[in-house]
Amino acid sequence: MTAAPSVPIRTSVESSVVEVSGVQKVFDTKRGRHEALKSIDLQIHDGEFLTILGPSGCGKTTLLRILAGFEQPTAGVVALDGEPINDVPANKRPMAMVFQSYALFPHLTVFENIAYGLRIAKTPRDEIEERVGVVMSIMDLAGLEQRLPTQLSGGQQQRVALARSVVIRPRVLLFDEPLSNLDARLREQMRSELRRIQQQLGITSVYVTHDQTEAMAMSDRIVVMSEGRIEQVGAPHEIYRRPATLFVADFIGKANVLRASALKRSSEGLSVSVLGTHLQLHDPGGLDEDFVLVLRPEDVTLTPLDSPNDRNITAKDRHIQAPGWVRRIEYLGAATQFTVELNDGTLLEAMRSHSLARDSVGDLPGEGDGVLAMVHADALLAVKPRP
Amino acid sequence: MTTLQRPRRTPVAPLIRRIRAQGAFGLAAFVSVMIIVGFVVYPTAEIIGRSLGADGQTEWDRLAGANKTVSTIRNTMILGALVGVIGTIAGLVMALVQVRTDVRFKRTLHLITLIPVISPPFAVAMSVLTLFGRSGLISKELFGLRYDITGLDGLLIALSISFMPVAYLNFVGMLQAFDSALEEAATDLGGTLTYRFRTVILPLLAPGIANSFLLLFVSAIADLGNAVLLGGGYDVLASRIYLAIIGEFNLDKAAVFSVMLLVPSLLVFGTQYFWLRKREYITVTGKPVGEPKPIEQQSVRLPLVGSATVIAASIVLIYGYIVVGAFTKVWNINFSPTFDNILLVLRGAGREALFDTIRLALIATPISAIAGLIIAFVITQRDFRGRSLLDFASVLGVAVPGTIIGIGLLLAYNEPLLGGLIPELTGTAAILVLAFTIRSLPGVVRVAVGALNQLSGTLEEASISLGATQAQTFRKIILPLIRPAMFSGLVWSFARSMTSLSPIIFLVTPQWRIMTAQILNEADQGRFGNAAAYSVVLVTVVLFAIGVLAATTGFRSDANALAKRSSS
Repeated sequence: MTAAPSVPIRTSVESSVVEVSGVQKVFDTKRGRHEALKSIDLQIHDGEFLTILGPSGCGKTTLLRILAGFEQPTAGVVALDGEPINDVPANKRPMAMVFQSYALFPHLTVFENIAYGLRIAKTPRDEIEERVGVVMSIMDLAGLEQRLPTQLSGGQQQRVALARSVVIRPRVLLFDEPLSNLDARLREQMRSELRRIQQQLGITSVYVTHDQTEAMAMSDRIVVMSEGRIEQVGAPHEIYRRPATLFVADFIGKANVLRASALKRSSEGLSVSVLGTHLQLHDPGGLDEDFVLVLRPEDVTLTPLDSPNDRNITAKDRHIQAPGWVRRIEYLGAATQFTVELNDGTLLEAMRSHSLARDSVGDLPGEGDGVLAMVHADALLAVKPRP
Repeated sequence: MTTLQRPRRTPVAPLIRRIRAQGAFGLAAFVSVMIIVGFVVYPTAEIIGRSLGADGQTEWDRLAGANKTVSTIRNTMILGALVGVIGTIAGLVMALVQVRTDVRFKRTLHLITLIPVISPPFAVAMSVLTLFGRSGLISKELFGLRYDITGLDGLLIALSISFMPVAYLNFVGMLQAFDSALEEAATDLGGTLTYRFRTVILPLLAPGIANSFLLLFVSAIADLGNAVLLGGGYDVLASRIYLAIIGEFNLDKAAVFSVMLLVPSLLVFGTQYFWLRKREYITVTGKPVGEPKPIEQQSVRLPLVGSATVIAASIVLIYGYIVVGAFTKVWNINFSPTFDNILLVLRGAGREALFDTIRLALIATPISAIAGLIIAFVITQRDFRGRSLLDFASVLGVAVPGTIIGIGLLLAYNEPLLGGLIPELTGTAAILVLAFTIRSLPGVVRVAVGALNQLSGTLEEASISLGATQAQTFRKIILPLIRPAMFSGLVWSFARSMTSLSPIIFLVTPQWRIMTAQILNEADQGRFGNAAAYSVVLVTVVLFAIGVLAATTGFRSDANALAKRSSS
């Protein structure tokens, strides 16, 4: 069943390599219909590193596999350079995928693994030699030509997998959680290496992961997905600083969620009632009556409480000042995380980073101490509870 | 179907279109279905059809109520159940000794246990007769007993020994895959060995126990050679089928008995297949965490090792005595050594049978390897409607008793089919090759499925993602990776063809002689020395084939590899 695209295909201003329009995927399982993707629209720009981020089961891998051609969309169109490719089989698509398990051919040497795609394409022998050689030196694999995959370290296997995909010069490079099998240290190292190689070669890349740190560190843009829908698309700092939905705010980094109600909306902004006080906030637009305020822990400043008798939460100079006490402290090394109970019972997470030049641990409030939590109005982000 | 009014819709056209749309996969699926339907389902259906025909109906009426029929069916069921129990226990004992003890002659024990796998199953019968029969070496000469081993007791010994390796391999696999952490946890919690065995090991082995019981049951009730040689007055369905054809030339009667045998076989096999196989899989998946620890408690270890030694000794005695029979003047009476029997097989009358059998088995082996590979490819490739049905159908070749396959082929191909596209096969070598192929196919399919399942699906996707077609992927990635497994599948297939009797017994003609049929014939006429010589030559050929394959492919040499396959 191929339905008409819900969005007509057009060439966008920014040259997009891949255009996904109205893509839907329904799996018929024994337990009934499972809607893995609910009408996805997405443009992937030339040369960018785009990460699809979301928890397991959000449909990110399904989307990637539809791009690769391993799955057929139930409805919608996938276009490559303006041409619909729904009917193009996976092996005819100018894309290459790097797998979570690397999927190196165990019976072939490193050289033969990398040369595989070129041999399939009947590339002349000397050209294969040359291209494989170039890629191997970029990937720092020189000298390992005759090794078998089992004789390589995890990082080397990873690089062979990447080299094998890169050498055929795909229009789009697809990554399916390629770093999740590596240990933490190697993962970080490969992360920057992958990014370096991608930038050096300028290959449009789509990268699927559930690791938000990985996504933030590597991507030009991030697509946050949840339950088969796109929650938000944007640059890492936009996603973090201006989350569009509660899900995004919660999934990326830590977030305090505060109930609030709108009092007035005007050109000056959004007048809200929160924690019993009134504040004027930035209006991100597109909000309904129903919204919540999100507050990053690092935007909460804690100071020792001078007069313990002051039990009221007040607003002053676009700041909320809320007295409370520290219920719990977690020392994380570079920062300390506080759980503060405000006087009205609200729990607030606060984060304070450390620097020996600036302060010492002794200056920090301890468990049970009274504190004054200060929050600037600009740090309160009004978001939709759902997209 | 050939009416001119409606030429636009033949049922074949959309089928072909679908096959083309599916590419290599579609073609493979089509071929698989054709093989299974044509060679297993159709012949079986022919028998059922025959038994329901007019003449069959008369036989039904005559046989169904007869006391003798009732007792035959009861005998068959009792035999199957007892062989199931005894063979399973023996297999479990041997496996426990192999995996969970540190006896020094483990390797030898292992090879001894596997001897029955590469010998014709009824070779045991002859040896048992000469050792324990009315004038047996042990029963009469040693103990002075005039004891008649024919009947249920003899059948139990012969069949339990013949099929015990199936249970053994099943349990070895399970016990090795057993996560020793589970047991350690139970020990940590203060469990004694007996307590651990009862609460942890036994419940986890339960599906395996049920599994081998059912498999042995099916094998035992289907066995023909032993039933004929050792049955005596103990009638079972397999021997009644044999007598109906060989003695009375009554195909209808044979068809009716066949259906009576087919129904319990398929029921039991179906139970094993659909219910137990999956459960067993769940229990033993995952990599073992540690090496299984040897049992040190002597009160457990000694009885285990003791019984294993007795079982192994019996196997050695029984098979060893066949060798004796092959090289003595008159087996059991005149023990002066001679090469006459062997020479008769190698030079005289047996020469033809020897070469015919080898030739046909060699033809059947690659056919079943390729067919098995295609079917396995289809089964493992992707989820599609009817996949589990195809998977089940692919093992029907062993689920359906060999005698029934044989009669089915006889009935199905005794006239040209599809307007002469398939000529009459009865009496030709082709039908023998077909019988060999059908019987060895399930084993090859299992081997190939196992090997293919071990390959991660992403390897294939990686290849496709790099631009390869499905066919290229198969040739360049899959085939090289499953080659070692396929070679052991080939050996298995060859061994199976060389040693099988029941499917070909009704298909042999004077033109094409098969060794197993020859052995039965000789033994039936009391020429046990010749029969023993045939058996020895046969086993030698199989061992030689294993050796040659091992040498040429660099593949692990012992019967172990071959055996591993047959268990899966």
